[in-house]
Amino acid sequence: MCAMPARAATLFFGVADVLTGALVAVGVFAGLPARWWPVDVGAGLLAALDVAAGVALLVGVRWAPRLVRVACAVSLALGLLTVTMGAVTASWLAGVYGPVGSGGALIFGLVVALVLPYTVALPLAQLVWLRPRGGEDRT
Amino acid sequence: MKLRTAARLVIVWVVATVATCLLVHRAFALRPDESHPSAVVASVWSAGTLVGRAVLAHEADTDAGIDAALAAHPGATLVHESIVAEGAILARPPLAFMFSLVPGRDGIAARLDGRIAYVTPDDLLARQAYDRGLSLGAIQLSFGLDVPTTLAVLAERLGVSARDVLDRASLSRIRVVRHVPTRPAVTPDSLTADTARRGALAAARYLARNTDSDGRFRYLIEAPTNRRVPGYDWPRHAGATYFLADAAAASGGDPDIAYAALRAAGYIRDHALLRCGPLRCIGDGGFADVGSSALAILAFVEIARTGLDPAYALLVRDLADFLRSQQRPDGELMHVYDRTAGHPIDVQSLYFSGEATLALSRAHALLHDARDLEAATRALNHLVHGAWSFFGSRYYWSEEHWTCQAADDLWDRAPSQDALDYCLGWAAYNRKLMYGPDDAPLDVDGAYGVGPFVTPRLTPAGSRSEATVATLDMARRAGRPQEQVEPLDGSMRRSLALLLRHQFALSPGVYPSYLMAEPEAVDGAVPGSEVDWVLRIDYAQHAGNALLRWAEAASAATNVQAEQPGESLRTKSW
Repeated sequence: MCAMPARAATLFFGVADVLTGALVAVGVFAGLPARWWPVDVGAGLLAALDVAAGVALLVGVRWAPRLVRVACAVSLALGLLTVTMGAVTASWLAGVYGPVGSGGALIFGLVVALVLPYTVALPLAQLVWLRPRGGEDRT
Repeated sequence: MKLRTAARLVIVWVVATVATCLLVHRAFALRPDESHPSAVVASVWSAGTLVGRAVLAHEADTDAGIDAALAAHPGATLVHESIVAEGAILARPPLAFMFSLVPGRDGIAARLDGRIAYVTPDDLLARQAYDRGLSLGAIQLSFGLDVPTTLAVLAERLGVSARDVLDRASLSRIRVVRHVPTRPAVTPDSLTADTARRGALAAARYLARNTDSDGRFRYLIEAPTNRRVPGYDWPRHAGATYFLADAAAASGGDPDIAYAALRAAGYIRDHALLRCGPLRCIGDGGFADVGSSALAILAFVEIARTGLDPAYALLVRDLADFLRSQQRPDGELMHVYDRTAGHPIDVQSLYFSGEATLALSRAHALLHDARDLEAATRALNHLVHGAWSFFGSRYYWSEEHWTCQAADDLWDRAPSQDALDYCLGWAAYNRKLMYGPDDAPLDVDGAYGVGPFVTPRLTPAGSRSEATVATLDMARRAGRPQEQVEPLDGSMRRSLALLLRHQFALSPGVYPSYLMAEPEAVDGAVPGSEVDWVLRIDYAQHAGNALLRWAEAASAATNVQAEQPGESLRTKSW
């Protein structure tokens, strides 16, 4: 993990969590053309947890690390599930339709590139940052 | 979580995901073997109805039922569909079922209680069940298999309920190769001016046959049943009239086409010509729009110019006055007029400004009113500068196919190098979007689409070719280098060959005429896509117009190889 001072790291992750929560909410509820409850419920939960965790970090409440861990676990689970489902679906479509050309591969690659940083890389980085060191949290 | 633990988890996840993907692909991919079909489905079709079916071991085998069906239905067509591969299908969830077939290539085999039933691609095409599963109204597209219809057919053939098929039957995907006479496929290399011209005139004759005695088109037709589908649209009526008038001239005065053009123009004049304040306009009810009025001008100009009825020049003058009154000082047009309130509404819709620019240019060519030329020039200048200028505009272009036709039409009176550069950029962008022969499992070379799994629509190939042939004409007249000219012609050949491959040319016994109840009614039509056989009048209009323009340009290019840059390759008579 980087040697970022605890206060600066707290600020960074707090802002990142709030922005990620907003991004998920806007992306799903304003960006997607149709409503589908599995996606809507997952996105709603993730957005709420991310914003709450970010605010908790920025405000510096005592239970912030616990909330961040919960938010990261949910984000990681949903993110990995999304990418896995996307990859398996692409494999299924390629099996049904045969070679799909560079266009299909590019679109899938871009979708994965959009999802991975926010729902996989960021929560992983936070979980590593919050790992117990001598029994103390990092905030 | 420790860093090492996190890294291990990520590696495990990546390996597991890759392995799952490989397994899924292997389970669902087909490996067709055309030389060893597992079975051959023999079908007898008469006027779009299946009247006999048998499953044979080999194509050469005979079957008493098939022979009897052929004897009972003179003129029926025997079709063999060889099953060259069979594989797994996901019947649940419904969304997976919808996307489990390659449209036009795949069918379904259902096994239940020792019996087997097939739904072949021809069965699904006759029922228009491909690309009907899920409809996105916002983008006017539908995707996927119509699962209820497919299950109903299987249920009928197995003598059980659709629920039984879904719950108890073993379903599999079959890849089918059809053995039936087909006409020779047009390729970009085999495309000639004569082929293109004949295709354009066939499209015009289709429209003419489907114009009633009042001049109203059969706007939407489901081709297999020849049934009319509800709906109508004035801009498309005017656009189809414009093409008919143009085709009448190109045909050397084919009376069926010419008379249909006159009837259709009369229908606009008698049913859609309104008062917009002191001026005349085209619309419906309390509102008139620039698009309908512009396309009506295009139709009326052609009718007056070609001598079908010179009196239409008077209406051209009146409607051009209306278009000019809708123009803003910056050249843009206000697209709607509120007839009740008596003033324009400054909103913009897709296509209308380009249509108005072309209409004003054509009006000037006919009537020589300098105000029309000035208005057309200002509108074109706005379209190629102010209307499409923002950060990133070089990398993204709107759907567009009228502006470049207007720029080409104006070239002999007000040439604009900026407009030509705009059109070359637009055409280069579209070449990037164009599918190549291996980009999808369908016949897509020269098509534009929204993804490899959605059957590409044919209309964009037609409408964008209209604009591309105009750009090609301008580039040649401007003396632009060959490296700018050749890609335009190459991309257009691919799109036009695609349109001709899918245009209905319905000789008896030739695919797909046997799937039509009344093939003569829809002969010459251009379908929505390879598998969407609901016919709308603008499909034939755009494809026919593109073919006609390219044929004119190709003929002229052949005849005047030595022509100097700056001279038109188009056969204009004004």
